[in-house]
Amino acid sequence: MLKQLASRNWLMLTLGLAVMALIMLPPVLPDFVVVVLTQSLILAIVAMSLDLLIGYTDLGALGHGAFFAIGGYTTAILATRYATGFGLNLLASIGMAAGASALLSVLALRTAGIYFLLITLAIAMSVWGLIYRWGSLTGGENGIAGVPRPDLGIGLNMSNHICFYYFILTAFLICLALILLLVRSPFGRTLVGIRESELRMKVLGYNVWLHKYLVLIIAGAFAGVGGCLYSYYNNFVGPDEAGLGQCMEFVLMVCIGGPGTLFGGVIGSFAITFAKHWVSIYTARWLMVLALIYILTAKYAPGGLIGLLKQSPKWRELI
Amino acid sequence: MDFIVNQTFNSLSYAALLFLLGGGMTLIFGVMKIVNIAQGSFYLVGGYIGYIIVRHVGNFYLALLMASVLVGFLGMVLERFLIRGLEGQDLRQMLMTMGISVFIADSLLVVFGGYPLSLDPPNFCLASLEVGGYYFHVLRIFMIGAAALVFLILWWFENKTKAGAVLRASVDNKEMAQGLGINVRFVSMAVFGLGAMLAAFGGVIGCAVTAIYPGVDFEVLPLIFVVVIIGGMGSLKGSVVGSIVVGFLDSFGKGLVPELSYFTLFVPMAIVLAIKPTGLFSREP
Amino acid sequence: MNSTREEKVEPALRCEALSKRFGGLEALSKFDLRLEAGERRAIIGPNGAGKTTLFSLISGIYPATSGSIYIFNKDITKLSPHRRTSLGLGRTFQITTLFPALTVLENLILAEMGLRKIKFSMVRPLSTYPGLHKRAGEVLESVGMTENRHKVVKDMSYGEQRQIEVALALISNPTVLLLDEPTAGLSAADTAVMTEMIHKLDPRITILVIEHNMNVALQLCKQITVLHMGCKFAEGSPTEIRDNSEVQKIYFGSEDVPC
Repeated sequence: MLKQLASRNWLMLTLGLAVMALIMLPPVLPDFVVVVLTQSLILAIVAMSLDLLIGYTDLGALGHGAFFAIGGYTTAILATRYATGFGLNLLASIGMAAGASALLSVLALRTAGIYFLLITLAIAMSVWGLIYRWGSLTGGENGIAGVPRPDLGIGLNMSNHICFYYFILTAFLICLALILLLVRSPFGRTLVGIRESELRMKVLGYNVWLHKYLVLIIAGAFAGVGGCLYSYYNNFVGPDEAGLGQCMEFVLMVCIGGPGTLFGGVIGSFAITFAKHWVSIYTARWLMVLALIYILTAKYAPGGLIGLLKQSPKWRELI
Repeated sequence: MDFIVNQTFNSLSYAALLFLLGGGMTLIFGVMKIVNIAQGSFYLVGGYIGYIIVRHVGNFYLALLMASVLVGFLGMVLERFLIRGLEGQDLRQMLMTMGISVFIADSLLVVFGGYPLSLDPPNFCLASLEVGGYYFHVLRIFMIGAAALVFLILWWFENKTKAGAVLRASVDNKEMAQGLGINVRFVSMAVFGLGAMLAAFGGVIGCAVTAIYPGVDFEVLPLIFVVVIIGGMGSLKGSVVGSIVVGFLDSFGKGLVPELSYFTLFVPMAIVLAIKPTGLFSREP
Repeated sequence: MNSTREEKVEPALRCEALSKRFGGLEALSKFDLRLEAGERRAIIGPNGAGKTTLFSLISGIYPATSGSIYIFNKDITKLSPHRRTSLGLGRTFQITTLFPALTVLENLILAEMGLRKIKFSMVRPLSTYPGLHKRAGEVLESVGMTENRHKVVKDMSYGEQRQIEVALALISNPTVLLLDEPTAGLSAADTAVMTEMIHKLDPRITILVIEHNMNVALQLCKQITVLHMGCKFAEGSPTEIRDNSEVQKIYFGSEDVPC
């Protein structure tokens, strides 16, 4: 009992420090770092939502990038063609992404296990293809450029890196809080139950299909949030956001951090995003490095960095 | 009418290519239960090897042979050292094949650069055959013929040989096969190699018909996925049907409704999912 | 006036011509069963006779090829497993089917939420529902697992896991309980504990037990049904079954004894 309290304290402390660092450090950090932090936070939202699926419910949803892209394109199209405000764009992005998930998950849930992985990937590719070929709507392979930064109507200049960073940080913390609540709620527990024993859940009276369906929609909604924010961040959206590379990168983020831990997705997002930018300074061969990360994670660290941490003797000392 | 005849012919030749890629993928999926993201990469490697051989030696058939054998061997090595040991862990396997795929893609980019490359097919392929007022590119006829030949060989192998029976057993029930003394690990390695080989064979032909360039590996993946989803995992017959369906839909789609042409792939996939989620010809319910 | 003398006797569980075919194999063939409310019935039979298939059909894991199943005269043949549970069905599995990474208490709380609307609550933390914890605690006590409640299930002994298995089925207050080999693999001492636990269950619960252990079957049940190669081979009181030479034959492996 005491051990549990002690480990909780360490965790709370680390978390608290991390949040404080995120809040207090940026004004003194170089612009470049703040920009990368911003990107990491946005992708962390998507990674966390994917962890709900992969880590908590054991749903290998490899096509999550599709909803990220749908959110992104919704915001981009509305902002560039109809000059709509942030609030509407965000809601529309969430609606489109969640709606797409609601439709496509009905099909995907016809399968299970490895088939589910294949189907979700194929569905994401179909969305990619649709985006790529439907040029009149999406700009085809050129994407949509010129997405302006959001005007929140409170006089803040979102083109300023620091300003925009705090805006994103706020969004991230809100999403983190919501997903944390979900994970600790009864519904969140049912997801773990489904992961641990779907059969047992069924005979206990759970409509397992419905729970899976709901979490897929919720995760889709958060991916839509990420997509919306990413369009603002990049001032641009392109078909690659729904592509295989992006989809698998989100999976890698969850896996490298540690599936089922929620914060694993955040760690993974930071790790991959910082690595990408840092390595690219020194070499053009970032993709090769990324490939090695994929291979090493798959071979040696299936539980991610948090998994490795839990296994190390120092961790056992702490708790 | 012109349009229909030409598009049908194009669809069939495209289907031939898809069969080589999808057939390999479905065999790997069937025996090893993994989604091989690197399947497109094997196509790419095969194409580049074919390109080099044709450029330096000038023999197209040698290119076909060498590319197939070398990439087949590559596949077996990758299976033995990277993929083995991850059995049953779907996500890890996906990450691994993704890593392999990205690594191969970037390595090829370094070696061959970003420009599309194509190789010259044998001279007789450059002609066009005239039938009833329509002109058919002999190279494409060659493609269809080659794919059909490969299908026949595979079919004979799967149904008429002992090794084929071993393969079918491993697809149906791996544990049972193992219990019967079948070296399932070796079968996995061999199948992965075979799948890679088929993809590489397709790559050489693809390089001759169109071109080889960075990115084609990821471009073909969605098509192969749909072939496997429609046809059913582990089913050779299924991958023929799937390839034909995808070949036709993509060709006609591009010709008729270019903006929605990817979507046309989605429709049969959705229909199959609604009726028989494991694929039309799969042996699982 | 005469009709009032007729008592309405609703059987708790009824199977009519229940059959299940897997490809070419007929696992269960035109099986009939009738259990009255509060009855304790044992299903016995050699391995492969179709006993667990029967349970899977009743609980809805497999769809029946033909025939029907009724709980208190309500047709459940086409219902999904979770709907059958909401109608009062409970089940344990031959292979322990718990939530291995969770603690005993967490297992029970999950079981408790199965039929409650709060399973869809997405905002309030689970720990703030005292009612859940209380009920789980009560069931834990009734099976003597209170000190172990914070132990992770996969770290517990096989015997303890089998007990938790039954506790999970009990927590939803089933009216018809299916126990699949509850004493399988248990030591003599654990078997006695388990048998006692089942014996002490609320007499209103109708129980169908698959048992290989004849002593346990005889102790718990007044009626025994024998399954052989997918059909009902014999049915009767424990003494009748024990003395039935045909039943002895099928246990000693003569498969040519017809159905």
